[in-house]
Amino acid sequence: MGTLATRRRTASRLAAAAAVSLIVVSCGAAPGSGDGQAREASDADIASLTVAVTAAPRSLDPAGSWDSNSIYVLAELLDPLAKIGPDGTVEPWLATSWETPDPRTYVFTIRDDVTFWDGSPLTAEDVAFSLGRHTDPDVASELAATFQYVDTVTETGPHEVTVTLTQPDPQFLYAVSAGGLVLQKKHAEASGDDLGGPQAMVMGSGPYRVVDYSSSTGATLERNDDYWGEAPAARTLEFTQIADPETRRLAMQSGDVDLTFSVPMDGVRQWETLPGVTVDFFDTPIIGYLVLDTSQEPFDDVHVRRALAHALDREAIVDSLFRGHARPAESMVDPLSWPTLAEKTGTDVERLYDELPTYEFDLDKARAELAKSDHADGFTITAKYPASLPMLGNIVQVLAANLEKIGITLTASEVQYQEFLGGIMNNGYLGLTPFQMGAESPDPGTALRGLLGAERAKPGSGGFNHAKYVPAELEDAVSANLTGTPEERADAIDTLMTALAEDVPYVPIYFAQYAVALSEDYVYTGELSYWSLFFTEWATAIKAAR
Amino acid sequence: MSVALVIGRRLLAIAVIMIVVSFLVFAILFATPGSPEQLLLGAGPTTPEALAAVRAKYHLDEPLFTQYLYWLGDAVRLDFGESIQTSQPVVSVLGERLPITLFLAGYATVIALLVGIPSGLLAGLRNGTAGDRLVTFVTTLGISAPSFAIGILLLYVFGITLGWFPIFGAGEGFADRLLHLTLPAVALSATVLAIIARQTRAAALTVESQDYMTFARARGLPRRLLFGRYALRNSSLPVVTSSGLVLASFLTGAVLVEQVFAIPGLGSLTVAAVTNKDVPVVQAVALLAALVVLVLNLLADLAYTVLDPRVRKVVFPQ
Repeated sequence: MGTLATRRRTASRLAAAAAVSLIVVSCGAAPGSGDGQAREASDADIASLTVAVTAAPRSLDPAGSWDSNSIYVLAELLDPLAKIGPDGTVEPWLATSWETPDPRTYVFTIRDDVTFWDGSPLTAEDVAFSLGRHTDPDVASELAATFQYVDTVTETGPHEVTVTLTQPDPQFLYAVSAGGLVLQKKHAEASGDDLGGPQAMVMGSGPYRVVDYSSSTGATLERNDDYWGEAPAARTLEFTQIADPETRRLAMQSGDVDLTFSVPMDGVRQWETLPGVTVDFFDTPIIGYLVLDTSQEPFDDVHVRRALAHALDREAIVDSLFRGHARPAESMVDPLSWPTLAEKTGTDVERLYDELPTYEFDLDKARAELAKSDHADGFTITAKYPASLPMLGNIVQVLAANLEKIGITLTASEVQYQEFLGGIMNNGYLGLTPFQMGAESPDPGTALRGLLGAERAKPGSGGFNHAKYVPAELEDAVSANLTGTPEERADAIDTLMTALAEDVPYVPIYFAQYAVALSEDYVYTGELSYWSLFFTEWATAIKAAR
Repeated sequence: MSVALVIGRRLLAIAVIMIVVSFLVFAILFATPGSPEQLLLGAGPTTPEALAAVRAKYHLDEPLFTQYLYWLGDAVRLDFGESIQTSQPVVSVLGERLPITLFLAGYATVIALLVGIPSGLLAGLRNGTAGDRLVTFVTTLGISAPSFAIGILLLYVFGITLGWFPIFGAGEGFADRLLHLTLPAVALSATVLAIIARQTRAAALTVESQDYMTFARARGLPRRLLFGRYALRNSSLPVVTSSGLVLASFLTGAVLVEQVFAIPGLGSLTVAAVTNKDVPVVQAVALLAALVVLVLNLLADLAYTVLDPRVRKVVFPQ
């Protein structure tokens, strides 16, 4: 995930929030950039491609660096078991096929023609090791939640790995696609604590091998000419850390940098007019929303929450703050996340959304709702937002201007990211807090998984139910969404979406768009998508322009 | 009192101050909100088991003083632990950035001194002339303009428009590094250069009106001696003091310039470490900064005794 913030990996990390999700709908070339002609790709070799990242990878071990800047690099080094296609379907990769004899068991057949960079074959043992370590408390993997239902991972044949789960997990194949990156067991064990660091680095099988890595400057990757899959055009990938957005833009302009996934949305107009650079936008399932803590006053009153929802001018926020590069969010569940599930269950997604209660921007209705509440005279509240996501602060300001008119005084207070995250994670009283969250998979249930359920509201649970919204009658639907069959899940998600819309513990605001800036010397031949750019190998799709 | 004894006492004081500083920084970080274990596990949803494992590994459930003693016990053995952000040893993280920062700070100090002192002297001794006015005008500009603004201006003019200098990074090898760090060093030194020029000018003005200058002039001494021996040496005390502090401030205070020129130096490391509550890194940087300031102060004080016989007599009475 690139970042909406102007700086710092932490911002995008928040966006990542575990991460994997959606389908791309729009990816037109930006107006004003280039000559408007589609450039054609050639098969010529690219000597070197320089990529600007906002921060160097923290580590080359996925267990210790599951954030966007690290993933851009890791995706070129390590092959996953499966991959998520741009449309959100799971496709074979290292695993040629898989079977599910029962909902808690997955048997993967592994390719037999894959070698690591050192020439040794990639075996089922390496795969079992790479998956199993994420659930080992000693590893303290950043992917622990992604693989939380994994019970055992065993090598059941020379090219076969069997995974058993503690409970059925409809998200498991997505987890394996995004996080199931395979590294060499022998190298990892020999490296010990140094694994992923600048000395030991990592041993993978991907289209690039790493030749140089520093957590303060970036990494240099060299093409792996023995790669089993399609060979990328660029011989060298150079990742360089440029934290300052203005410097990043100047470096693109001067041609020192060829590509960046980090185009700041608040300065996007200057990027669109950069000579010799194409800026392309695409939809993401990253959602911005307000948490309304239902455990205490004033947000324990549903009328207060509805008043707030009516006072939020989504259209104005999308138009003025994002310059149109976002989608207004009517529900916490992205409509674009439905196709795969809906295809299985025949759910009428359009009707489902049409029947949801919505809260259009209307201050009279907001006033009316507030009058029905116990706080008819209004109240005063402070909203904390992280310094690394200034956009959230801007949104609070826009909201505050409207709330003023109905008698509510809202103040925005910027805090450091650590303080913000600490407050959020301890699940203390959060009042009104703006938040941004990525999606873990291209599935409508993924956002709800973290946001709902009594378990996820407990302090220290690592859950995201910050609104402490825990109606007992919803618990069945919450667990059906976690473990049910596709039909059960579609029904459960419908129930949960409706409840969320009725009770508004969370006020959805926007689904973000991200932008990629690429020098006109090159062409991106793939389909731009949250999934194809942030969770799978992307460099192969970049070709020299004719 | 012997020179060795004076220096020995000062070194002992430095050690004590370092321990106090390390505890204060540790305590302040401890008191700030936020939880490093969450950072260790990424910002996504996580599991209670993983959180507990990390808390145990980093002793996060222990009280402040116990945590500090764990740190101190390792630190006196020169083991500064691992960065929470990258899991790499703090020593190697610092080792990678320190040479770059030293180079930049040294480069900027040299520019500040080589340009600041002569122009200040000139302005002070030629008080009221066009040269004086020019120096005063330029230094006012230098003091007023923030370093990142100067940095971006330099980038546009010399990096993009003229294309003389690279836009980002620290470069490899001496010549390349010199080229890469020229614009950052100029941007970094601008404010300080202006301050040094002003200070030198003020000192030179005072010196200029002293009787010994008038007398030296009356004796018909050559200008070289007049400027070099009389004016420069007598104006140098305040300048020497500030030079030490200047170098120290460059070492940790170059954050904005590092940001603009994408230089992986100590400043940006410090900011990231504090923001992410990366205690081991913050501790090591704070200690390094304290050490640099204290040692440079000591050196500046010693330089006094060389420059000024009156000071020498007080510090080292025969």
